[in-house]
Amino acid sequence: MALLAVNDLTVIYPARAGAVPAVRGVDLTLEPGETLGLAGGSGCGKSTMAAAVLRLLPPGTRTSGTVLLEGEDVLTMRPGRLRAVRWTEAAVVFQGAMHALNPVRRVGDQIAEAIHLHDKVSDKRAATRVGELLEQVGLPARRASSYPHELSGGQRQRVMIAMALACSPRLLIADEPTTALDVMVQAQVLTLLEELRRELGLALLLITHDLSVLASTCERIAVMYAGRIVEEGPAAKVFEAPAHPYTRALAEAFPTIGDRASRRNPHGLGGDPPDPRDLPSGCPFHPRCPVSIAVCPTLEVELWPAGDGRRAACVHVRDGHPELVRQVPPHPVGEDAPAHPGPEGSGEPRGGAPVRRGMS
Amino acid sequence: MAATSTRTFRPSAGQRRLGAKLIGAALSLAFVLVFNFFLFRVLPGDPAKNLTRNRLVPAEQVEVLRESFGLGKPLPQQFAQYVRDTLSGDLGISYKFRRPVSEVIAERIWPTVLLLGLSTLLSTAIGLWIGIRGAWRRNSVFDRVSLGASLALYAMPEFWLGIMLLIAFGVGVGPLPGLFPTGGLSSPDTELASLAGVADVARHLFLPCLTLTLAYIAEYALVMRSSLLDELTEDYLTTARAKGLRDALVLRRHAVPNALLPTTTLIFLNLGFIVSGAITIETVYSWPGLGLLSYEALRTPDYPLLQGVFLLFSAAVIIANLIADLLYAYLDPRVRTG
Ligand SMILES: Nc1ncnc2c1ncn2[C@@H]1O[C@H](COP(=O)(O)OP(=O)(O)OP(=O)(O)O)[C@@H](O)[C@H]1O
Ligand SMILES: [Mg+2]
Repeated sequence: MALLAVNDLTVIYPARAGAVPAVRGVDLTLEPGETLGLAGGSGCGKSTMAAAVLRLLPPGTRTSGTVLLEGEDVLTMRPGRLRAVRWTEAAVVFQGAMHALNPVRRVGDQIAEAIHLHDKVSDKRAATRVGELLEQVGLPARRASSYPHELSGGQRQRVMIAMALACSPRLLIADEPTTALDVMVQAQVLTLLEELRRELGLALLLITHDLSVLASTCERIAVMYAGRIVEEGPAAKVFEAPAHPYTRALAEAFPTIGDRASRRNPHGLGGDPPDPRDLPSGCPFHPRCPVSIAVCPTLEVELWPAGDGRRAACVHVRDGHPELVRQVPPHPVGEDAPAHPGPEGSGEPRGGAPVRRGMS
Repeated sequence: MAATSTRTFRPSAGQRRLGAKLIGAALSLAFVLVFNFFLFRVLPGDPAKNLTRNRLVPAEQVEVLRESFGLGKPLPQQFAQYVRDTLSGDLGISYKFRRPVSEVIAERIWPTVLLLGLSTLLSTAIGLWIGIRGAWRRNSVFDRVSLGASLALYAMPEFWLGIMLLIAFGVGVGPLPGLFPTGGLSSPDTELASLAGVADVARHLFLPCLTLTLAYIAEYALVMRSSLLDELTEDYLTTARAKGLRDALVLRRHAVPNALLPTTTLIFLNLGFIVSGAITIETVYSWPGLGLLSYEALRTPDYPLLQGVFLLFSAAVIIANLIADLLYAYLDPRVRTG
């Protein structure tokens, strides 16, 4: 049985300006001990997926489909059962460890709180366990008495990881565990996650916008765009020979770390990420797609087999020409790119300068 | 072990901070002392003349009076005397009561402490409770009603509220009799040390206490509500929920303590300023505390008494400020080490 099986999940946030369909029919499975990478640009619904696994959605959010954690549907669980499942079956390392820890309580207490909640142990046993957990993530046990503001960004992220391991979950969800950290620390945190996964036999759902990170850590990758999975398959294949033009743009991008603009638009694609409230018709990627054709604005895309155990939601894959996706150079980068490509400019494949790389 | 190594480091930063705060408070007090002295020297009117106003008093007797109040000496000498006396607790002789100011104040301080203490306790407890409930059940009927009522109460001047309550419950409206006494601390013929005496004081205390409580509930409820609403959007609360904590515990253990930080400061700052509210309310209800005393002193005008009351009020503000600072530092580790 799959550890995590997400079937046709839809998540719609309530909002004054109109409901936001952040996730629109996603299927995902994760076997015990497996590593799955979830990639995609800002606002495509990655964090929403992570939140849905533990049903941590704000009140008023509408969901449909199922999220089976060890066979039980999280979305319809009774509250008591849900609280028992949280952190013991799956735990989350949240995006932005700066704010994910309570600023006025010692980190050791925050870790111990999780232990006490799910295990009837003495304070002393819990404290010992906190020390062990901290050492496991490469921090001295005495760090337990620190407050979050006394720790560096990397140390805080390690505390978050230690906290996530507190109740020995079988599934660890890491939501952009390395953003806002500098490159050296990023690498250390990723190595740590990889080591822990191997040692503890955890299944890992690693979420990031940086496809290159996933290529080296994950067995499989799923790429999201506008609340849907647009491509999935074995990591190396997806990264090296993308079958969807959006994946290709992600794969070619070297996002400038910490730069908000390069995150919003990491790959020199023209146009903005789509507004989930007002998605383009047909394939939602078509206005920004360098290889879109006349049928794209009206085509209902779905995941079609793309060879090598991959599936992708692109008309070229359906038509049996996935190589087309990789032939035309992507849209030019930077200032000269039109902010809002008009409909006339998006019907035909576009040529242009090769993508600008690196930390420009 | 782990805890001690950090603890031996922390107090030094904390102590330095404490020292700075104490020195700051002492300087403020010294400034108030100096200011107080000069303020009352530049005020118009010769106290000795005022005291003998509308009476036929020989000029030399006025001079004797001036001498007895120490008004004849040159200013620097007066100042030195004033500082020395004030530090030794001698605040001069009240013109009006012809007794030491410190004695008069000591007599009148307890009704004020009782009134302010009780209304602060009540308004804090009720205000915070309303604020927490409103924020937690945002947009519920409770939240809407309490928010509207709080805003209305907050906008109301204290004396107006006092007079309205006095008319409604003290004097009585139309055929309805007044339920509570309209003024004073107790009825003339009751024995204060008896059970009946306590009940009588409580009846007299009711209206002024209700007025001040209502006036401050609103502010505390509004501040607590907005502070908690801010806190409720914080990411660490999602972490707490994700760990499997029940909503009520997320609120009690994480959100409320953090939201209380700014509110606590406000409460202690207010404790100093609530004194000004006491002046109006005590006057409206003739509650014989320091507020009414300052009103009486102002009407005479009784400079030594005013000076003494001013000094006490300023000291109250400064000390409340100091407590607010220290408490905040004690409660918030980010301030403690920063
Ligand atoms: N509580 C909410 N209410 C309304 N809309 C929301 C809420 N949370 C997220 N959204 C919207 O849902 C969409 C998906 O958000 P989500 O946080 O899942 O994106 P993401 O892929 O994690 O992005 P990022 O890379 O920036 O973290 C976005 O358009 C976002 O604005
Ligand atoms: Mg996110």
